[in-house]
Amino acid sequence: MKGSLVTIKNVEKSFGGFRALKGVSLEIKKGEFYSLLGPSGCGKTTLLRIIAGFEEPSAGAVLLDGRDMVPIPANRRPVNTIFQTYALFPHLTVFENVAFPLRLKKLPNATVKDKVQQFLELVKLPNEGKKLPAQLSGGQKQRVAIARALINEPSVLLLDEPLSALDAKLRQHMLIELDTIHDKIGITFIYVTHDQQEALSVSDRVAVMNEGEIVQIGTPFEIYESPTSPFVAHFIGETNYIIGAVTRLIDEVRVEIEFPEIGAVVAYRDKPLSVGDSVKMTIRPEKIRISTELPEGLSEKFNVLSGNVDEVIYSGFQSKFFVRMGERTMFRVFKQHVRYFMDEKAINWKDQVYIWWHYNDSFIVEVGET
Amino acid sequence: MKLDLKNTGNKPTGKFSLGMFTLVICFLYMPLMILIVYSFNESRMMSWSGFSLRWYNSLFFESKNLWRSFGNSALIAVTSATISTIIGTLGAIGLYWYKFRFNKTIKVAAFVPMLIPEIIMGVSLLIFFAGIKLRLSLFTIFLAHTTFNIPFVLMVVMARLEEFDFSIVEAAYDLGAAELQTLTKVILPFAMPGIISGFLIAVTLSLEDFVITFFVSGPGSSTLPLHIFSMIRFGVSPVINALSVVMIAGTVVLAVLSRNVIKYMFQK
Ligand SMILES: Nc1ncnc2c1ncn2[C@@H]1O[C@H](COP(=O)(O)OP(=O)(O)OP(=O)(O)O)[C@@H](O)[C@H]1O
Ligand SMILES: [Mg+2]
Repeated sequence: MKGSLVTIKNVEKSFGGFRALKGVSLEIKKGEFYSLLGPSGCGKTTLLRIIAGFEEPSAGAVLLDGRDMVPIPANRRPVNTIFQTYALFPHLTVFENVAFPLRLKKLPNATVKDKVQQFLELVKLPNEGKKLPAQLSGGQKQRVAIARALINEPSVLLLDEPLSALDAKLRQHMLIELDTIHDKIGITFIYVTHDQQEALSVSDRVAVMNEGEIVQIGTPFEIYESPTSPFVAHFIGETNYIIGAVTRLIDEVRVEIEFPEIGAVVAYRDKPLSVGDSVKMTIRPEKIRISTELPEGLSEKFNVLSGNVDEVIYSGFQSKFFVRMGERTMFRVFKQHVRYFMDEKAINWKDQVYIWWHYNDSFIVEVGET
Repeated sequence: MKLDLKNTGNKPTGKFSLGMFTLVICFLYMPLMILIVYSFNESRMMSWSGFSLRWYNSLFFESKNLWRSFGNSALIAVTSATISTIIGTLGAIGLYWYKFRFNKTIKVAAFVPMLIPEIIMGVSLLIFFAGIKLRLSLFTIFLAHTTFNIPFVLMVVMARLEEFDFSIVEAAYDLGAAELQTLTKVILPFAMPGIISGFLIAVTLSLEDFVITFFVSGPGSSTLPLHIFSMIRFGVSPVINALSVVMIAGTVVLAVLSRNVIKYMFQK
């Protein structure tokens, strides 16, 4: 297809009788930061290894710039990989690790030296060339692996959970750095992760996978704000679900749903519905406001409910409230601490509270079969 | 009552382990010390009759046959160790790299020669050589030594490779290396400490082997252990003491040397 650099068409992969990939299709544009996101065992690594050439697909095609990649062995694909374990050569210095692809091409020494130095500077390790990998920290090893994978100037860089071996702080930092490098050199990144925060914060587009299938492709915004299935809504961030029945189609964009234990709620309507449909509605906890007193003059665009605080979890920048509405209905509400000590009135365990949200923020992820 | 482990344990255990240590050291090194002392004894008897270098003199200047056997031993040790290191290393890499049907079976089968009693190995090799009408000579000794050395090299190199993250091989491949380049630039350098230790083990095993060599040696193809054995049959000559001291010294020097070389090569 025109405009896309990597095209994956109906790729299948079976190991013995087990279907690890069940017909995956993707279009990745030139220069994109593209993430494959999904829970453990969903086939992300398998798909990446098929693109790299370490595995052959059981069926389907992998095209790069329109060229069929399947018959081309890994060492002749213009694609490089960053491995989860870094896979640095333990017997070579940092310099020689990065120089490895150039040495294979038998480039003159001066060229190698300049280029390696240039890439070591790109990953901010200009002075560590003489060290052996064993003498580096995890983050530094990661940088060497990045420099080594980029020095061949591949058209696609594949990254398999490159940050998973780093601690949380460093991970944030390296992620930003990866993004900077991506912006600087402009090649296509295909980034595998099971961490939704990582995927959302740097990707241009995200493909969410589950059990060997792509379940949704979109920008981070689309994936988070309009998940098309309960799986995506649940996997990306936390959310509340409730199941009810459609009672009234208010207008083009609004629908009234009746929930047991709660009553009527207005939700955003983005799909064909009819009265009586059983639906699953979702609302993100951070979109709900909470207070012990009902604010005055609230617009009718807000849904207002009341319940009792079942549990409070304080977690620094925010608190999580579990508000019980009845036997089987509980809402999670996140409240950001803007001015904690000066908040109108602290909300405590067992308090009676009001919660409210704009109807636009609650939408339907599944119709029927519920 | 609460048992204070720290106080009840520490000192007596310290003394006990020190005593144990001394005993073991004495047990291990006493015979060697006696041997060294008596190699400088004037008399042929076990009683001390004064310092002398006469046994060393006789070792170095009057033992032509002994040195010929030593030459044979050295030649066989180096050649058989070299060939078995090459075969063992390639075998280990093959078993590591390629997953094929009988991979596991071959791994197990390769170690069987290590477990077979030497005497059975010697007899079966003798029967084999007789069967293919190969005249017993230095060459048959070389073949026999190569045979029993291969599993040791294979084991040592394989142990080294097992520490190797396979994604490093994939990384080399990914970065553009062909199969042979991956082998020479990545796998062999990594396996080198294992290969060197395998080679040294093979040299040692070959130098000291008696039983198997005894079966497969022919007339005039004596090795050092065989020669010493034949000397002892005519009574223990103090020349053997002197020889032993020279060999101990040689071994110590070699061991220290090889250790430092390996250290220098791989830890920088
Ligand atoms: N070589 C193989 N042989 C047999 N099964 C395999 C092989 N490689 C992967 N699988 C199976 O395929 C499925 C997908 O594996 P894959 O490694 O792609 O998962 P993943 O999404 O990368 O998971 P993770 O996040 O844990 O790395 C898993 O169930 C795995 O057990
Ligand atoms: Mg994986």
